[in-house]
Amino acid sequence: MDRWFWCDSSLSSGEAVAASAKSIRLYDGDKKTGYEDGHLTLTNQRLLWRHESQSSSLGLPLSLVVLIEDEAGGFTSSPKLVLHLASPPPGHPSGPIASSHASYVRLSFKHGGCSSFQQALQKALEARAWETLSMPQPANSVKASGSKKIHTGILGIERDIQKKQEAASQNISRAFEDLKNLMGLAKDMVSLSRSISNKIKEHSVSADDTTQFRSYLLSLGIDDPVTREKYGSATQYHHHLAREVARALEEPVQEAGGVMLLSEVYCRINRARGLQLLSPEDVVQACNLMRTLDLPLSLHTFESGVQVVQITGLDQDKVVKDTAQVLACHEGDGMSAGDLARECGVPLLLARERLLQAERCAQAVRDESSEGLRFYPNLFFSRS
Amino acid sequence: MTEFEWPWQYSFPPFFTLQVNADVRKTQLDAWCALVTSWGKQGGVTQIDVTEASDLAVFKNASIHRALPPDGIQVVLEELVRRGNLEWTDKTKRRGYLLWRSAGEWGTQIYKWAQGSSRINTVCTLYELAHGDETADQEFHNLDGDILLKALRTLEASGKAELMDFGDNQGVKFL
Repeated sequence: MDRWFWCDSSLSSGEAVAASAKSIRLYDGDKKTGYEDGHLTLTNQRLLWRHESQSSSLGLPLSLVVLIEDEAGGFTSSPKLVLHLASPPPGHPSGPIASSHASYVRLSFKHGGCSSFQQALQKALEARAWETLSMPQPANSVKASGSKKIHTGILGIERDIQKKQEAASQNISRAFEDLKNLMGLAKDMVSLSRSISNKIKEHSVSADDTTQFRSYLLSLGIDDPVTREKYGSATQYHHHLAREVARALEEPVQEAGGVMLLSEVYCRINRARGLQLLSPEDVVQACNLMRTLDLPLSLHTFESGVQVVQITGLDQDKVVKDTAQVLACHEGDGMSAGDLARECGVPLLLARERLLQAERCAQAVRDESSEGLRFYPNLFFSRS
Repeated sequence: MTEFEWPWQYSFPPFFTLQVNADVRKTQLDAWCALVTSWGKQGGVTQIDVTEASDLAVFKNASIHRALPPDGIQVVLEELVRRGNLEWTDKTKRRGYLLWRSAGEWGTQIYKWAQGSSRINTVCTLYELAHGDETADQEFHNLDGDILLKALRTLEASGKAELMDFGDNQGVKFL
C-alpha cells in the first residue's frame, strides 16, 4: 500500500485512459483501508483512484505491477483483483501510508466490471508504455517488473536480424505492387477469353472462325481448351516420342516377360535419354498413341486402373493359364500377390493384376481373411 | 448320432469368402445350400436364428481359421429362401424354418403316397399322416407339425388337397 502516492488527476502527455470502474475499495494486503467507493481509472502508465469528494487521486505506476490475480466474489464478498507489486524505486513519491508489510494490494469491485478491467490492465501491462518514455532513465534503476530493450548480446543480434527481415519483406511487397495491378487488369481479359472459348465449345461455330480464334488464344498464351481436354493431343512430337519409346523399350519389355508397368517405362526411357528428360504426361500421351500407330508395344489399362505397356498381341489367355499353373503348385496354402511376384520375378503390382485377371476368368478363387488376400486354384469347378 | 461328414469344401479356405466372379459364386452357393440343408437334416436343426447364425458350426471351421462373414451368411440364407429350403417365421426375417427338403417337395411326396395307397378322395387326420402306422415306412413319418402343415398348404395351393378342421384335430382330404 505504500506504493500509492498522491498525485494530480490530470493526465500527463502520452498518457491515455484505457478503462475505468466505479465503487472500488482499496485493500492493503488483506486489510481493508478507508479508501472505499472510489472511481478507478486505468491509463497506459498508471492506476488512479479518486474519491468524488477529493480533487487529487491516488496513483500507482503500472511499472510496479508484477502479477495480477483475480478472486471471484462470493455471496458476501465482491470480486477482487490482486496486484502483486515490486518494491518501490528510491525516488518514489510519498503516499498516504509510509510503509506497509504487504507487497500486494487488492481492488474490490463492488459493482462489477472486474473481468473487463483485468483484461484492460493486462493489455496495458503488456504494452509497457512507460518504458518507451522512461528510456533516458539511468540504467541502474531497479525495475523488477519492466525490462529494457537490450541492444547488445544475443537478443540484440536477434532483434537486428528480425528488423532486417521485416525491411526486406516490405521492400519485396512494394516491388510487387505493380505486378499486382497488372494481374488485376489481365484477369478481366482472361475471364473474357475463357467465356468465349466456353461458348465455342457449346455451340458449333464455323470452322474458319474457330481456327482463327484458337490461334489468337494461342498467341495470348492460353491453351486451346478443346484439345486440352481430349486425351492425348495429336501433335507430331508425341508421335515421334511414341516411336522412340517403342524402339528403345521393345527388348527390355520382352525380357521382362512381355509386360512392364508404365512407371517403369517412364523411368527407363528417361534413364536412356540422360538429357532432355520427358515429363510423365508426355510419356502417357505417347503410350496412348502406340496402338493407333501399330507399334510393337501398346498401352493396356486394367480394370483397377493400373497401366502397363505390353507386347502388342500378348495373349492374355496364356498369361492367365500360366498363372493358374503356378497356383496349382501351391494348392495347399494358396498364394498372395507377394508370393506370385517372388515366384515369377514380376513387380508386385503386376502379380496382383495377374491374380485378379485369373479370378475374372474363373481360374482362381480368392480367400479373404485377417491374414490378407490369398488366391487358390478354382477347385469349385475342377473338383466335384 | 453319427458324426456329420463335412464336404471337401468345408476345408477349402476360399469357401468362406464370398466369391466375386458370378459363375464361381453360383457354384459356391450351390455347395453352401447343400451343406446347410444336409447338416440341418443330420443334426435335426429345424430353425435358424440370424443373430446366432455366426456361432453355428456349419458357418465356421476353426481348424483352418476361417468363418463365413455375416454378409456372406445373409447371402446364403437368402439363397436358401429362394430355393424353398428356408422360410422366415415373420417379416422381420430374424428367424427361419430350415427345411432340408422344401415344403413343396414334401407335399409332392405325401401326395404320391396318398395316390399309391389309394387315399384320393378320402380324409386323413394330420396325426395319422405323421405318426400313423401306415406311414411308418415313409420319409415324412414323424415330420415336424409346422412343416407338415406347410407341405399340405402347398398341395392346397395347387388344388391337390383340402385342409379341414375337426375341432381338436386337423385333417386333410386328398383330391
